[in-house]
Amino acid sequence: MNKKQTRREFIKVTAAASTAAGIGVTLFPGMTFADQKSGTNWHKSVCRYCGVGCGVMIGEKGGKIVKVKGDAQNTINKGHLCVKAFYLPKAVNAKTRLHHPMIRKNGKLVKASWDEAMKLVATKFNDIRKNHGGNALAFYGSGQAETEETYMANKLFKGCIGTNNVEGNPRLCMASAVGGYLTSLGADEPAGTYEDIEKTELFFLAGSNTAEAHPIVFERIMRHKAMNPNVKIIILDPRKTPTDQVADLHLFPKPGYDLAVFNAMAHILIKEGFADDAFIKNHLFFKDNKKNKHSFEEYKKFLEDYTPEIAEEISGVPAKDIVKAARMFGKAKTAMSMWTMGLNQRKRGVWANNLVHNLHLITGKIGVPGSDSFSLTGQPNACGGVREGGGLCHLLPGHHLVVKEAHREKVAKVWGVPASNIQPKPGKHTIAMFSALNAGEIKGMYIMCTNPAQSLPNAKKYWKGLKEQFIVVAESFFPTMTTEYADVVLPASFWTEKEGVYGCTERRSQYMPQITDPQGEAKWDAFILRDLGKEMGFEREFAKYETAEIMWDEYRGLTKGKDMNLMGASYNRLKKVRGLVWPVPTENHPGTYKRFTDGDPIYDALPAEKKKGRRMYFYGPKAKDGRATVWMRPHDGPGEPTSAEYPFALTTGRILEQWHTMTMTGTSPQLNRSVPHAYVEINPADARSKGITNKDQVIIETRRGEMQFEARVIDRPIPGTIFVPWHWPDKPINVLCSDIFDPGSKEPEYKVAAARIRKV
Amino acid sequence: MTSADHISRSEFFSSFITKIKSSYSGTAKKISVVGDVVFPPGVTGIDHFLSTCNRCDKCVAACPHESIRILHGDEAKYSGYPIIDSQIQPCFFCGDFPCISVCDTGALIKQNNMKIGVAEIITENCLAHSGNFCQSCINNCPLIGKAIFCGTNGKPEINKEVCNGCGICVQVCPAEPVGIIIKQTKELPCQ
Repeated sequence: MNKKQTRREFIKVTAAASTAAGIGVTLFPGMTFADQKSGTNWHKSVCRYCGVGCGVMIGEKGGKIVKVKGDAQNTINKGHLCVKAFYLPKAVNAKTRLHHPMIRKNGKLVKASWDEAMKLVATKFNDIRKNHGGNALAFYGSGQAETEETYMANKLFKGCIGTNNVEGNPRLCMASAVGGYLTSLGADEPAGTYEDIEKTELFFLAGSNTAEAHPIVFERIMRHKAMNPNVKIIILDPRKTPTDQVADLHLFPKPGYDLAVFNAMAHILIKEGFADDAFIKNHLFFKDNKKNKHSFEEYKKFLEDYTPEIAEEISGVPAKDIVKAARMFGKAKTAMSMWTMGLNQRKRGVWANNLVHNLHLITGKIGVPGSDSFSLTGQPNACGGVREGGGLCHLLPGHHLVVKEAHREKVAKVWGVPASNIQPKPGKHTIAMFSALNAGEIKGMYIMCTNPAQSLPNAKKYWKGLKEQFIVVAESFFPTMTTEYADVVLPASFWTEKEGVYGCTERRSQYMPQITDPQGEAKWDAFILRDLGKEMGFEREFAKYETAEIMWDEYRGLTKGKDMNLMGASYNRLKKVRGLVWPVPTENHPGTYKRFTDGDPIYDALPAEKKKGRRMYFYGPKAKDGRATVWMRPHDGPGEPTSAEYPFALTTGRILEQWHTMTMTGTSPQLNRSVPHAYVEINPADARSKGITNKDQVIIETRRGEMQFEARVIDRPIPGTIFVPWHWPDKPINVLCSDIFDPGSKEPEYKVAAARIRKV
Repeated sequence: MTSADHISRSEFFSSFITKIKSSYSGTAKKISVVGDVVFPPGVTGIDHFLSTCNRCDKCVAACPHESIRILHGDEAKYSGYPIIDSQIQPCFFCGDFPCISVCDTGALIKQNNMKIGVAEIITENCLAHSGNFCQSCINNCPLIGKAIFCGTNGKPEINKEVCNGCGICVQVCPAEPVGIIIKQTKELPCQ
């Protein structure tokens, strides 16, 4: 990162440029612009919040962040930002920023020096490793950490300490999407990009409140529809949301019962002649749950069980609406599906993902402009840092797997560690990891840039392990619910105080410059991990990481020849452009709009005989013969169905003005004013039968406990469903959520829990 | 919160809540009403109201949401009368209108289509009008999509027929200064 050089030099250049030139002079091409009139320097960067990846211009004046505005040249947001990003300077300069390390002494967190804190962590970790083995240690990271930070953590834990207990919060949000892409298309991450939004005729938004969770994507959808009234939008969600303002058709399934709806849509699509026979013949396999191959005819037979009437019985969505949705999907020349947690955070999250992909595969609505099954990511670097960077227990950086010997050897060589250091078996996934922490199997954990004490499902259950074991938390903000359990808290640099890369939903990697000095004694997470490595005795292994660019280049090298090739995305280039969409194999390659088809460098390089009679070749690591897979996934309900005892389905979600556990958005009074406290949405019909009126205090109870909320009686959730936004630390609804998880993706089912509600 | 002192769990929660509350009320403390003076529901005509209301404060006490308060301030004309300052606390239009029930002078009277005002956007303050994606007023309007909705230009628009002036949009507006206010309306007999 070399902060001194960058900053000092920058200021020098600024001064020189200011005297020499007029307003709006460009200092570094594409990167920094000085506005002489106001004395503000504008730096090109990326928004800190969601996975949309909006480009921002950060205004810095006298070493302080004063303003954030949209980057008009960024193709994603074209200068637009949501209200959260507008108030980002409040988070940078918040009073809740942590400025020095803290160590728990006699039960209290007290100020400590970096030296003391690092020595303590290294000694503790080394003791645990010596006495209980590497697997008694664990790392829990974040989809908000930079790729370089996750890369350092991976090397320290998987390569040096020798444990694959490396996880991150993307397990809680994107794991099912990863599973869906790998099993259906053979490779993780979407085939298309945001560019498809302006080219499509139909949007199918399933389990996504796009208007609040991905505001700028929604704005693009809205603008596209306003300019093209023939564009249709179908929404599938048990709750009316602000996204409904653009809906042409809304399907309301009971929470957790939508699999039958997707199958019934496929049933109608084929029955009414919307299937693309040529695409099916040359591009697809059909498989059942046991991975046995089937013919298209057998798939049709499987779908016989999913008539719209049967699907209505299962899901509660009227048959005529399912037929209507299928016809809209079939008739549209192009269709784009988008989904988020409504499908991912489910006991059958992977299946739900597969069934959406099926709709696109059987109709050939993929691989052409305007058609894609496009998963929206929740965090700014879940794709870049964790899915691509290998921040999960079974992965290594650059789409490599711990189970493959060749992959272990390749990565170990780059890391300069013996290949035997990397264990051949995947480590513990998030829920298993925190369960092991409870059980005392894991005795030390390093938590970076995330707040699991609040964000884990059935959170209270896991407080035990956090309390009993040795916990290190590296955080920019203090206090959080997790620092309450920390033995050591390390102050981490925040957003504008460090350099690095974020990779967003559409495979785009974007560079963020360091603009200001870290506040107080805060340090960059990657350097903290590097120094911890050195302190633990891996001096040689971590000696070379002087700058962020060295880390990025090493990581970039590992992606060479992979489906996510980033060789053309050097820092030099990323500093000038508004991100690059991989595969981008060389410095002069422009990036790839559509994967698996013409224009994709990997597809283009395939021998002609492979491409014969095809327009797509699914070359991903999990695909065979270049074919995608249509999965025959049967209906399955939620892990915790409603009952006479717990008659309501509790579902949770985001709101526009707050983000995750509010460590950042909570610093802005303006955002807090918008929605000052947690509430529960309840349908007026349910409210009447329960004698609840608007703004009454009510108690929500699940098998895991109860909590009091203010009732918001509103025609948003369907009868039988209640909704609570999850952000507030004083009402951590996740304590009530179920921690049943998808057996494939290991992603917990936050979206459905059986609950009851009563007036206080 | 960077002090070295230990903070217990409950302290942490209460400090967090206080922080939110203080930041919230900190901006709302300005008692001077932005926009027009808005009276409690049930006013049939301004002169009628001013002459019949005996300033007994019963509606103030009856309001379960502490929305109704007594105006003390520059607006001498209305000083001492019960009003609603949406920035502090808007009207939630209770189904049974306890404020009207307790009014025994006839100043507040139950009517069909209760309306206390109508929202109006101040475009130079509104975040959506300055190129941001902000829909706080739209998302929080209890008359979902009917009173305030997103226009084709992506900016909030108000249906003055439907809007009852409850003021929730004013309270939630994240713009500073506030991007939406409640105006007295011609349809309201009090003009």
